[in-house]
Amino acid sequence: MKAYQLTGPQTLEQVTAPDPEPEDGQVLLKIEHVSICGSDTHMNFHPTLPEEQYPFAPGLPCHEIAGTIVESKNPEHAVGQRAIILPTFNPGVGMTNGGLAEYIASEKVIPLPDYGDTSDWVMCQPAGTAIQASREWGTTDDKTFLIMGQGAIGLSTTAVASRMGAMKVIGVDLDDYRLDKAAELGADATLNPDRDDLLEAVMDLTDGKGVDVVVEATGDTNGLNVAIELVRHQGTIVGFTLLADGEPSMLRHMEWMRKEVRILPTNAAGALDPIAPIADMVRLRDRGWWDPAELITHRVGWDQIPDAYEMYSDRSDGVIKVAISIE
Amino acid sequence: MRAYQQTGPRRLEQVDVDNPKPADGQVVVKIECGSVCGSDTHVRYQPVLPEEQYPLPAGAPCHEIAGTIVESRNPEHPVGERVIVLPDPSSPGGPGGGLAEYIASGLLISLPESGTTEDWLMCQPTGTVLYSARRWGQSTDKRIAVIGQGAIGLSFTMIAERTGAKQVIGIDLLDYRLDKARELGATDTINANSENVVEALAEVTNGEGVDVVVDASADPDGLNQAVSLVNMYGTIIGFSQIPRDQLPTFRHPDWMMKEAQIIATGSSLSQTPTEAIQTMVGLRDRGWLDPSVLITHHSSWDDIPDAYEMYAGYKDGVIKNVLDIAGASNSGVVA
Repeated sequence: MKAYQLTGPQTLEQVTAPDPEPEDGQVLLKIEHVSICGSDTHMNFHPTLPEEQYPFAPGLPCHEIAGTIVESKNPEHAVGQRAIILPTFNPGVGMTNGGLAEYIASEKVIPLPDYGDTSDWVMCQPAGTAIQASREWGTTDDKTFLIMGQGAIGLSTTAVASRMGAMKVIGVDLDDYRLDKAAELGADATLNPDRDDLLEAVMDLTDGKGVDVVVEATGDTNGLNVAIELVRHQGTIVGFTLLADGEPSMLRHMEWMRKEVRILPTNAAGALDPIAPIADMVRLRDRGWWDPAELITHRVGWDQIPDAYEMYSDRSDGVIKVAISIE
Repeated sequence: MRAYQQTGPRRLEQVDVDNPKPADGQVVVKIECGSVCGSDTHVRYQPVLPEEQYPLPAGAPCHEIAGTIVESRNPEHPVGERVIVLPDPSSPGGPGGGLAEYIASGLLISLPESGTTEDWLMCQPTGTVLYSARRWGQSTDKRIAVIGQGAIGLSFTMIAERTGAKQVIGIDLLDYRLDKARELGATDTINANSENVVEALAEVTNGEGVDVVVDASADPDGLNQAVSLVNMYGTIIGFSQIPRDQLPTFRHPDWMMKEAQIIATGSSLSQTPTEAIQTMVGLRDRGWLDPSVLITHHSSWDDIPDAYEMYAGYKDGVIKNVLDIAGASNSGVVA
């Protein structure tokens, strides 16, 4: 099959790879649409990683994947069923296959309804991680939220918190086009740290208390410390940021202890049950509760994949989500 | 002032009583409208209470009340402000109630300036439901069944749907209430009169059962039904108030076998009885959920006894009946 693989920093090359063979319990998916995640670019595509990590396995870095099952060794999932598929994930190693390819074999299957385009349904994968975050913070209507970083994850969390009845949702980003989108999806206030004094503005918006929940989706090494500064005493931080091995991150330990802050990491891929929150999101989209496909800003084909990764990495052209057609 | 007073089972009489006096921290509200709650009819209006409880205080039984502040001894709530007001046990003349021209209270929920008072008033019952619904936690990983689809059960249905519950199953004996439930967000409904609820629930959930059962049935056997419906290790949210003379036999062994937690909820008994209602007002203001869709009837001052009869008898498709308190005095209707 045809595939892309990362052969060096910011270098995606087309290769021919063997077709994957599904094992017992797995299905073989013919991939129709995929999308790029921030972790794909800032942990994998963009940085210069240790030499021995290149080349990546064919198909990587890409883990937001939807298509149709063409072979099944799992009695619960029939051939012809459309699905979101999660790559196989080995603790300590990471993902071992990915979506920049014609086919993928995996046991992690989220069935999709039989209507609508898989390019739209695949957006339930990243948006499902916002559902995962909401499970961490619990009830919503009695809490104020600060969502740091209004990329696809932050925006999904903004939309989910707002739809669940949050008392207040404050969106933070350095890019105004993302803040505009945040307001459109339900943020009550937006702050740009280039212009606004975050601490002062957040205290103004919360009667001097700080917010109940900070969702830290910046991708920044100092994000957690800023979150500790802005959360209320005994508040909750839900951490989304993934940092590459070796990226330096210093936790301001004393500030954290003094405030008695609870920090909950959400790493959907490593979760005990990574499928459930995404299945939740599929069901909610089916019910018309929220459609994460409204995050799509660009639609591209196979040949434009390297350009799409460049664009996502640079946050150029107002990009939020890119739907990539594999066929 | 003019008021109604309950003088016996199912008997409301018009009386003339002294105007209430506010204590420090309280205000006097000129009542514009009230609404009948199931607890008003089930626990007070309808049953035969011990003789010494009659007559009830003037204005009772009615605790869903909204109007405008006309006198204030509370610096945070000025004259002219529109509020939902809760009967205040600390009032010098007793808590009073909504079936009167005025009420003194320190338990106030501020209302926005837009919109009709009666529409905002519906945030009172739905706000108490918001308080109770918090007790099941996050919704998206839960299937939730709600026994009883009156105004309270329907509010649970709406909140479960808005917060993203996996499945919301409304259960009632009356088809018109089940129709309303589907209209307001129930994914499935079961008529407990015509269907075997345990079997029907298994069918609509593909055998998965439900993680949360809300008992908003006001039926003495509601808690036992909830135990029979909930999954192992599930959660039961209790909302029903049952008169003391109708106390049920609790099927203790069934409950233990399920290892289900039962959480009794009552916003009005909490430390902060206004908080969830104020939150609901904010959510309605933002367009998140509009509980005024529950209003089916309006009654004038003179028709208030009929309104209680209708509510107690589930007549005429009633869900919520708004009582026009101020209209009567303004139009000078004589008792």
